[in-house]
Amino acid sequence: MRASKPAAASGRRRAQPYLFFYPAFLLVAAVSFVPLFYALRQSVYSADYLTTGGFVGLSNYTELLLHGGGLAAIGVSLTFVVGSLLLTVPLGVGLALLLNRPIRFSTFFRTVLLLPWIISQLVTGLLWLWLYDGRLGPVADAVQGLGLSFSGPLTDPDWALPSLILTNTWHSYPLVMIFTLAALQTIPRETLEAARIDAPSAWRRFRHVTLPLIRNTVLVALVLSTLHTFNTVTTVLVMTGGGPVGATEVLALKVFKEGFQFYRMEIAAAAAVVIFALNIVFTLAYIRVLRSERT
Amino acid sequence: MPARFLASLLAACAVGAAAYGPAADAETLQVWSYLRADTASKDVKERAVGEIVQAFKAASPGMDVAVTVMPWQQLSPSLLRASKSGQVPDVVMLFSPSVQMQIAAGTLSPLQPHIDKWPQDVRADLVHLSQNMAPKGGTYAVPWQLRVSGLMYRDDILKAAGKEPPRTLDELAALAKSLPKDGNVGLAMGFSPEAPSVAAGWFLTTVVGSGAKVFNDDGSAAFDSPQAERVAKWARDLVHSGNDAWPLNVALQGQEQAYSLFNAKRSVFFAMSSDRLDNVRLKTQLGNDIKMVRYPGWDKDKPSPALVQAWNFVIPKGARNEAAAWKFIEVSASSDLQTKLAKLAGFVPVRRSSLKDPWFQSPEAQNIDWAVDYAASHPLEFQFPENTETLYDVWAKMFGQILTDKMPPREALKAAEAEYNRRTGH
Repeated sequence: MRASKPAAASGRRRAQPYLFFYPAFLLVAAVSFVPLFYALRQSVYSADYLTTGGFVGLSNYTELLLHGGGLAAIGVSLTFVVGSLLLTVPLGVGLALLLNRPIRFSTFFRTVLLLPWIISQLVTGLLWLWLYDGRLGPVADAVQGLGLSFSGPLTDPDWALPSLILTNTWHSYPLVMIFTLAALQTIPRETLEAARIDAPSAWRRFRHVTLPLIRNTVLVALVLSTLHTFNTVTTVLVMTGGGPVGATEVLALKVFKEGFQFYRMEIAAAAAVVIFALNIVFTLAYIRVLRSERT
Repeated sequence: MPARFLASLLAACAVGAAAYGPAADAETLQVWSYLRADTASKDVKERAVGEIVQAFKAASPGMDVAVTVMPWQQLSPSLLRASKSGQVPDVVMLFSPSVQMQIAAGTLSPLQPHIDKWPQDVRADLVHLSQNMAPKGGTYAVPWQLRVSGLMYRDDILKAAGKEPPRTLDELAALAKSLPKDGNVGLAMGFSPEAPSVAAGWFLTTVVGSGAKVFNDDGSAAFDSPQAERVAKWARDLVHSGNDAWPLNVALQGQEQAYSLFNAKRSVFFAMSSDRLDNVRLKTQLGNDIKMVRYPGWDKDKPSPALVQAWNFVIPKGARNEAAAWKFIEVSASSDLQTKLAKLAGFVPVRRSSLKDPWFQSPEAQNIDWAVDYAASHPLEFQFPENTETLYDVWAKMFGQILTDKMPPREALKAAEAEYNRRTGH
């Protein structure tokens, strides 16, 4: 009897963290895992509007990828992501390096440079739609004032996607910038001073001293930017709707259109599962790079 | 089990229960709308909805109305989700293109049994839209606000050039090529997939008016016709005419951008529905120099049929107050209220008897008179498909291919036909 009381109290103490943990876990499971499971299930069943039909195996995936423009949408999405990252990361890192220097009004500049991230995707899309407008936009006005022609890239199948990449870069670089800046500010001053002695060239100091120290943080920002860009719908919907001629139809937009405009829930679910799988692949690839660096 | 743990659990349950709120009052009619009901609002449409609510309350003592406002694009998907969950309101405002889909999804209560109780003359007095009826018959929606699509134009520019408004597509093309100056364009109309409904609606009426069918009897696409090819070629030739008649960067824009272009006085012609005319006159400050003309066809005396669309009221299946919901709809479509709404907001009335009011002969009602005359004299005989968005999206892509010369018109029409049939399971 006397021995069981301490054991029971010890058991309660061990269980206590889980009691605090489970409500939050259940909430996260309800809003994350349950919809994911529902989407996975719906992707292998037919659907009549919101009513689930019979099991159809991989037919929805076949329909999406082989007949429904899914492969093309994946290609557009990958181009959109890679193109955005190629601009976002150097820009974000470069601005962080500048902000890390002892410049005047750095707080003001930091705030202003963060603004694009604060603005919603909808407002970003509308703003850049106006900027790019070949008839009423200020860029067209300025360029035509110089005697040059500017027809508006969003209605040109060759320039619509690069234009969206530029827009997305403008919206996304603050995330990379703020992560990098935070990492830069953790580098000990003595390390940087020693580096100035060993490597007088700024580029060599950055490449051999600074970059290895901030690499992990930049990679985390890269993962988040990748996921964010891959799942972007609003900006693309507002600016081009996936046109012209499907040039900007990213996979995430396909999920929205199939699910909420054409009410083909089964195809939307299949596309959502494909996006999820690609996001997992990207994330695992980044984690592998991180781990290989540690070993 | 420790008492403290039990107390925490009970508290959590109480919070959860409180979050759901009290049950809806049985004497309150739940209405979903994209407009507030406010008779004092600056927005005439909100005042109109306010008038409907007031008229219903006057006719139904003891009943209150709770209006839930949401963006207009959300009404249809929200109704679908609500039907699935069983939490439907009593009345929902739906735009015409969404009604067929909701009928097919089985979310709407039929209104025909209620309409059949009206005397014959009252039944015949209401404007019935084919879009509000099930393919096998029966009305599921009653309009409360009509609009007719047509071609807005700058009468000041035409008069200065000594020209008349176009009555044929060839006349429209000639005017669009010759009139624009100083960077302006001839025609503002866009096929962007972001918002193709106006341009796609123009294509629909022009093809049907040319004598072609768009669908076969089984609902499969029949886009590949000589008439459709002729219209597509006309569009392609105008875009590639080498001037600002209908530039590619306008032809592939969305509807709202075309609207901005016309409001900025940078276009001579603009495809739009009649409900926006007063707003355009106000924004351009050109007043009666902005007029509307019927969509031209190929022949002078045969314009394209009138595309009439409406905001409608529907009763979802499972609505708790169906009798009160029908009363609300009846009141909104009553002749007296429709006359009042026409005078207030310029709406085309849904009751033919409303037009007997002398006000409709006045200059203020000119826009309504134009719309009614067009719709009555050239009705569009067309059974809309289950999902108009799918049709318009396929056509938006098709025109993208035609206008950028990625595909010749005939080939693009065939490809669009196959694409539509694949998407709709035909």
